[in-house]
Amino acid sequence: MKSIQPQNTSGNLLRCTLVAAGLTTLAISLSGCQKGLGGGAKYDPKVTILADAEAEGVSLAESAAAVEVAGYGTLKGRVILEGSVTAPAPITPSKDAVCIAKAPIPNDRIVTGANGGLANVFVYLGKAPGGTKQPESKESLKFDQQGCRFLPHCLFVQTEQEVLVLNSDATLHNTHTNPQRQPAFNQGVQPNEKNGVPLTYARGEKQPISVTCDIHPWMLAYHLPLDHPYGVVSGEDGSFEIANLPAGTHEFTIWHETTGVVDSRYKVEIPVDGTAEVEIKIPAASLSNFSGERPKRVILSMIP
Amino acid sequence: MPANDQFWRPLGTMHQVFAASAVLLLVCTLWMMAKDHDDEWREYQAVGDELKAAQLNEQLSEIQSGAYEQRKQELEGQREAAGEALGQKAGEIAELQQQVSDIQGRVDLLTRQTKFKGAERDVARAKYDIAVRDGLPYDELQILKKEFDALQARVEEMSGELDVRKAELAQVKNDLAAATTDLDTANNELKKLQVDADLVDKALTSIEPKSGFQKFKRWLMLQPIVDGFNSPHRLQQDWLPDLKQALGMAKVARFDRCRSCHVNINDFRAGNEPGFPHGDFADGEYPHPYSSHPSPDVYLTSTSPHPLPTFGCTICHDGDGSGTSFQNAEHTPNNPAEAEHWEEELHWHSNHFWEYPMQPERFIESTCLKCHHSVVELGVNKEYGPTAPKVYEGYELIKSYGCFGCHEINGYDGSESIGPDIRLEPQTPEEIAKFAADPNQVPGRERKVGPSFKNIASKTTPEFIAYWTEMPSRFRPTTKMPQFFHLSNQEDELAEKYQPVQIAAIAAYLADKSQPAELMEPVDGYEPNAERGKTLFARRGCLACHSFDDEAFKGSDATFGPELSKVHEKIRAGEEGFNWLYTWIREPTRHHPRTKMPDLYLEPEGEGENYVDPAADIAAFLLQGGPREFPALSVDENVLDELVEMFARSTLTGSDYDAMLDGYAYPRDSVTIKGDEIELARRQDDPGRISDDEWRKRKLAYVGRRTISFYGCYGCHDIPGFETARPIGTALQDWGRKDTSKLAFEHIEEFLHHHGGGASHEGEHNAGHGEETVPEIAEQAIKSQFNDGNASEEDLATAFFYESIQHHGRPGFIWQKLRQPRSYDYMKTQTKGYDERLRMPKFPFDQQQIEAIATFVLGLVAEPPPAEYVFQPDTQKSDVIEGERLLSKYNCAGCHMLELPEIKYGVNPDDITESTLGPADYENALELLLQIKPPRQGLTGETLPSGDEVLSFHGLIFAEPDYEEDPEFQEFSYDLWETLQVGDKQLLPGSKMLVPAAKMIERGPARGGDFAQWLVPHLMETQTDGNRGLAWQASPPPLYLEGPKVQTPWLYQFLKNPDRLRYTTVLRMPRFNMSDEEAQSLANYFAAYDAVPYPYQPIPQQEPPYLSAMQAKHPEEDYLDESWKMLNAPLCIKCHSVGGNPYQSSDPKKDIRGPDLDRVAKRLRPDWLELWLYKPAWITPYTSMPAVFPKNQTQLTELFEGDGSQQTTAVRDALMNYYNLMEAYGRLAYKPSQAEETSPDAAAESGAESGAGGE
Repeated sequence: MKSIQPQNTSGNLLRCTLVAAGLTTLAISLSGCQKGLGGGAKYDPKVTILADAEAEGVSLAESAAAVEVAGYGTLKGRVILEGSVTAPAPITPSKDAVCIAKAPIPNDRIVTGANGGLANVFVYLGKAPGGTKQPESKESLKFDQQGCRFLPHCLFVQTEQEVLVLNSDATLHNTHTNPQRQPAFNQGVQPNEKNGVPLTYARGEKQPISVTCDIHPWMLAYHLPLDHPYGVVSGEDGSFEIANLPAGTHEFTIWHETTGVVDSRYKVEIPVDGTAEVEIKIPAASLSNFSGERPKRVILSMIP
Repeated sequence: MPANDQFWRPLGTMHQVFAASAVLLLVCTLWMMAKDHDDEWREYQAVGDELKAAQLNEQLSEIQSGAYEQRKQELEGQREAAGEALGQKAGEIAELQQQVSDIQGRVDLLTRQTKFKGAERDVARAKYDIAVRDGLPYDELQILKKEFDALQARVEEMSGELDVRKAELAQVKNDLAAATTDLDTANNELKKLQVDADLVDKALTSIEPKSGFQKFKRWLMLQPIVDGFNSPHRLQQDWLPDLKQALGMAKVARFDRCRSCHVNINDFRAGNEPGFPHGDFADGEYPHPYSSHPSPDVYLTSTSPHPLPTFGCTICHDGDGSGTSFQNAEHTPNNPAEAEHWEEELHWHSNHFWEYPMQPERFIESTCLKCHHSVVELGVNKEYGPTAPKVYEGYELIKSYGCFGCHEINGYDGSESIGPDIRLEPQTPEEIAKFAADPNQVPGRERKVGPSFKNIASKTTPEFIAYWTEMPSRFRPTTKMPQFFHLSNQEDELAEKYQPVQIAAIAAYLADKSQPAELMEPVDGYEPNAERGKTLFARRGCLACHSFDDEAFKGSDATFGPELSKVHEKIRAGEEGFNWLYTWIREPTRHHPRTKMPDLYLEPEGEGENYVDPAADIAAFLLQGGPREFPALSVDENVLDELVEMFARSTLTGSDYDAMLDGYAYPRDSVTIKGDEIELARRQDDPGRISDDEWRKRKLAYVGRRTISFYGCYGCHDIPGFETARPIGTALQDWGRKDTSKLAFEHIEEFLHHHGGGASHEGEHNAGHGEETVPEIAEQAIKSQFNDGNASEEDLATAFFYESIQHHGRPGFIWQKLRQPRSYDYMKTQTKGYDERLRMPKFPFDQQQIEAIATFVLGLVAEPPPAEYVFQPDTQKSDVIEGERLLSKYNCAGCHMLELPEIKYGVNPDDITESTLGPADYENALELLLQIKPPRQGLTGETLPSGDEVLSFHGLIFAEPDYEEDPEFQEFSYDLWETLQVGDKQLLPGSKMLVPAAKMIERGPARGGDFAQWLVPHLMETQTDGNRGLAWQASPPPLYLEGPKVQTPWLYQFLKNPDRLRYTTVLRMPRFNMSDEEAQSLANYFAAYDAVPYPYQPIPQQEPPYLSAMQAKHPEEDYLDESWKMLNAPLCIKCHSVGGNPYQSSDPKKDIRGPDLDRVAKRLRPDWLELWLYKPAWITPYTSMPAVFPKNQTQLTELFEGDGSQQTTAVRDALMNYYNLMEAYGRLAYKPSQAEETSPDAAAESGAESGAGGE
C-alpha cells in the first residue's frame, strides 16, 4: 500500500506573497497541480483475442455438409462374439402383479444370435463427417414397454427425430432417460398407451445413454441420439448396415452395454458407390468379465 | 539625523530598523499564512479534482462516441429543416399568432366583465336575502327577486359567450402548435439526447471551468485567505454527536475529517460499484487516498447498513478523525516495512500518545465486534456474503478449541449485551435454577468441548490417559487438545522430576473417580463382521464428522469429530472395551447426555442369517488391530511425597502437616475442606488409621486433583469432583482495551533473541526458517519487503508482531502467548514457585489461525456504542443467525448441502438455447415454479477478453469431461437447480448446463454436503451401476429451498425425533441432542432463510372455504371422494404406501420406494407439493419421481374428465386432507374401468392390484 505524496507544497509561500502583494502570476500559482496524475484512469487495457474453440467448432460443423466429397458408400458388417458366454439369467420381477405375471422376463443384456452374432452393439461415428447427408425427413420411431421390458433394447435415434414411447402393458411405467447433454425425460406413461408419448432429443450424446423405469428397476434400455444419421444397432445375428457414408476413411465407435466403449477408433475405408464389409470381433472374455450391470467406463465426479 | 536631546536614537537608524522589522513582520505573517495554507489535504483535493475531471472527460467522450454525434447532427438537421419550413409559412404563422393575440384579448376582457357582472349579481342576491331577513312585504321581495333574475340571466349569457371564445382560442392555439410541431419535437429530442452529456458536462465545468472568467473565479477561490469563503477545496467533516469517543476521561462527539483527504471515498457509480476502484494507477485503478471504499453494498451508501453520515469512519477504523494530516489521523502501518516507507515518504512516525490509533489492515475486522455481538452474520451472510471472515474464523476457533473453558468471554453486563458472548453453559442443576430465577442474568451456552470423563475407566486405561495427557499430538497429530507438558518452562530438573508423577497422578485420579458405565452388548453369539463394518462406517454417516486413514475413504477428510484410525489402540482390551465402543456408537447419550454425537439409529436389522447389528460391525471395524500397550505409570514415592508436601504446606502449618503424615489424614473435618485437600481427608468409613497403600492412593489422587485444578482440565472435560469449579484463565471480554502496562512481557525479548524458530518444543510457525530467531526473521522480512517487496506475508506478520512485542503492544503479546505460551516464563522459573509457573497450554495453531484469534480478541472491548448502532437483527434475521449457529454446532452441513456449488464460465449469451415448455408441461406449473424458484440473473456483467460473457449458475455436476477426448470437445455437464435468467432468456431447473472445459472459470464449492459429495461417487461405483441420480437418492439430500418445502412445525418434530422418511437412502437422519428451543430455532431457520411464513403457515386446502369452492367447481360429484380415488388410483401405489395400502416389493434393496404418503399433510407446504406433482425434476433434477400427469396424456378419464391439471390439484388436495379422507372413505385401492377394458391381462391384474396387501 503506497500513498501518493502531496506534490509541490513549497509553492505556497510564493503564492501567499503574490496574493498579499496583489500580483497575479498565473503560471507559478498553477504550477502546483500541473503534474498529470490522472493518466491511470485513461489506461487502455490490452486486449488479446483468444481463438474461440466453440465458434470454430460451429463453423466446422456447418461447413461439414458443404464439404465436397467424392461420393458415398455403404458400410455393412457383423459383430461376432468370439468364444461363448453364459447368457444372463432371466429376470424375476420383484413387484407389480402385472409384471409378476410376465415372469420370467428375458434379460437383454447379452443377446447372441446365429453364427456367433452379437446383438445390441452400437456402431457409430462420434462426429458428423464432412459431406454428411442429412435425411430429408426423419420417420418416427417406436419405443415400447411390453411385458415389463423395453423394446427395442437398443435404439439409435437422430436429433429432432420423434420417438413414440408406447406402453403395451396394463400397468403404469415411467420412462426415465439419463442423458448427459439434455434434460432427462422422466414421465409416467399410462397403461395401454397405444398412440405413444413423443420423446425427442435436441442434442447429440457422446455415448449411448441408459433408459430406465423407476417403478420397475430391472427395466433397462439404451438410446443413442446423434446429430447425424451414421449410427446403427447390430441385429440379432450381429449384422448392421450404414448407408450414405461419405467415401473415405472413418473412425467408428463400437459400444456394448456390458463393456462400454469396445473401440473408439475402428477404422474403415468407405469406397465411392461401393460397400465396405467388415467383421467386428469381440472376445467373449471382455463380456464374461461382466459381473454387474454397468458399463465399465463410468465417469465419476471428483469432488471439487 | 544624529541623536540629541530630542531623539534618544538617531532617527535615520530608527527608520531603517522600523523598515526592516516591518518587512520581517510581513515575511513572518506571509510565512505563517503559507504554513497554515500548507495542508496535505489541499493537494489531495487538487489531485482528486484532476482524477475526477479525467474520469468525467472519459465518460463524456463515451457518451458522445458512436452513434451519438450522428444522431445529434440528424436532430439538429431536423430542427433546422423545421425552422426553415416554418420560415416559408411565415405569413400563415403570423396570422395565426395575430388571431391568438386578438382572441386572447377578447377572452381576457370578457372574463373581467363576467366577473364584475357576477359581483353585481351577488349584491342583488344579498339584498334579497337581507329583505327576507327583515320581513319585507311580498311585493318588494318580488322586485328584488326580479333584479336578481335579470342579473343572473346576464351572467349566464356572458359565461356562455366566454366558453365559446375560450374554445375558439384553444382551437387557434392548436393550429399554431400543429404548425410548429416539427420544431418542438426536434428540440425535445435533442434535449433528451443531451441530458446525460449535459449532466456530466455540468459536473466537469464545476471542476474545470471553460470560460476565462469562471477559470479566474475558481482560481481566486483557491487562494489563501480567499479560500476561507466557500472554496471548492475545503475540509470535509462528518459530525457524529451520538457516536461519542473517549478522549482521556471525557466522552466527546466524534468529528471525522477523513474525507478531506480520501476525496473519492464515497464516490460510487450506479449499481453500487466503486467509482474509483482501489489499486494502482498503472492498472487503471486508484491508490489511497483517491480510491472509493470497497463493498459499497455494505458500507457508506445510503442503502447500505452502514451509511456514511450515520457511522462516519473512525467508529470502525479507529484513529483520530479530527486529524487533517496523514500523521495526525494516526494511521497504523500493516507491517514494519510499510512503516519505513511511510517514514520516508510521508514523514510518519509512531505516536504513543493516541490511545486508539487506526487499526492496521490485518486487524481491520476486529472493530466489527463493537456492534456485531452475535458474530455469525459476519461470517455467514446470505445477503452480503462473509463480510468479516477473519474475525469469524477467530470466533469459530475459540469455540471449537474451547478457549472459553478457561477464558470466559462474558458478553453481558447484567442483561445488556456488551459484546460477543462465549461462556460455558451452567453445569449443575443448582446453577441452572439460579439462572432461571434471575431475569438479569444470561446463562452461557457453550458445551465443554472435550469428552466427559465420568466413565472413562470403562473406555480406556490409566496408562493410555497418561500417555495421551503427556503429549496428545503424539498419539493423534490432528487433535485439537493442547499440550500441557514438556513446554519451555518445564525443561529444568524440577519439572522433569515432578512432571511424570503429576501426569501419572492425573491418570490415577481420573481412573479412580470414574463411575461404572451401563454398557450394552450385541445379542449372544453375534459375530461382528469388520469388513461389513467398514462399509457401514462409510455409508451410515460416520465419515460426515470423522476421518479414517484408509484407501477406501480417500477424499473424505471431515474434522468435526476426532480422527479414528488409531482408536483401537486406546480402547480397553477385550469385551469391556468392545462393549464400551458398541454402546457409544449405538447410544451415545448413555455415556454423555450432552454429547454432540448423534444417535444414528444403528439398530439391528434382519432375521436369522440376515441378522445384522451395524453398531457391532462398526465397532469391530474400528477395533481391528487390537489395543496397544502403553508404558506403565511410574511414580517415584519420594517425588510424590515432595509434591504432597509442596501442595499441602500452602494450607497447613508445620505442626499440622506433621500431624497429617502421622495420622494418614488431613487434620481438618472433611465438611470444612473446600479445596483439593478433600482427597486427603478422613472418610466416614475409614478405620482409625488407613493402610499405607490406601494413603499412597490418596496422596496420588490429591496430587492428580491439584494438577487438574492447576491446569483447569475441567474447562473442557466433565471431571467428577469439579462440577462447580470456575474457569482458571483471564476473562477476555474487554481484553482489546486491556492496559498494556498490565501485560507481563517479562523477558520475552531475550527469549526471542536466544531461541531459534525450531529449537523449542513449543513449535514454530515460520516454516523453513530452521534455527533463525524471530528478530532475525523480522529483520530480513523488513529489509526484503522494503527493498523489493518480496517478503512472504507470514514473515511480514512475524515482523509486525515482533515489533509489537518490542513496543509492549497487545497484538504482540497475544501472538507470542499463542505461539509459545510458556515463553513468558523465560528466566523467571528460577525465581518463582513451581506452582506459580505459567500454565497456558500450547494449541496446534498456525500463524493464520493465531492472527484470526488475535483479531477476534483485540476486538473485544466491551464498549458498545449507543443501542441504535448495535446490530439488532429483526426476528427473521436473528432466527437465521441462531440457525447458523446451530448448523455449525451440530455439523448439519457435514451431510447436507445448504447452498449448491456456483459455477462460472464464459459464454456467448446468443448461444444459449432458452428452455421452452414441453408438450407434457403446464403453464400454471411454470407460474408456480417462478414463484417458488424466482429467476436469478446469471450474467455477472463481466466480459472476458475473448468477448464471452461470464455466466454463473448453481447446479450439481452430472459428468466430468472425458479427458481422453480432444480438448476442444471436452465439456462438463451440470444439472441446473435454479431458474436462471441469461439476459432475457430463461433456463428452467433440470436443464443440462454444458460447460466447455476450456471456458470454465470457477467451480465454486458447495456450502456443506462434503459427505454427500463423497458418498455419491462411492455409491455410483458400488451400488447404482454408475447412475448418478440413484446415488444422490441414496445420499443425504441437499437442503436447498427447504423453507418453501416443509411445514415448520413438522420440521421441529422431525428434528427432535426424526422418523424414517426416505427408503432410498443408505443412512438415516440421526437424532441429535437438541433442546426444544434449539429444534424450534433450527426449524424456524430454514423458513426464515428462504423468507417464507413461519412458525405457522396457512394451509387453505384443509379449510372449509377452499373445499367448498372446489366442490362448487365440481357439482356433479363429491370432490374429495373423487380426489381420494385419484390418489389411490394405480399410480402412487406403485412406489409409495398410500391409502392404507402398504408398498409391495419382494426385493426392497433394489426397488425404489418413495416416502410414505400419510405424513405429507403435516410435512409439505401445498404450493411446493403441487409443483412437485406437476414436474418433480424442476425441484430435484435427480429424482426418480416422474411427471405423473403430463399434459400430453389423458388418463383415468372417468376422474376429472382426464384433465391432468385438475387431477394434479385433486391429488394435492387429497394428500393435504389425508387423515380426514382416510377417516371418511377408508382404505381404498381404486381400479379404473379403463384398464380393465383394454388390458388383455385385466383379470390377472385386477386381482393382484386390488389385493395390494395380499401378495
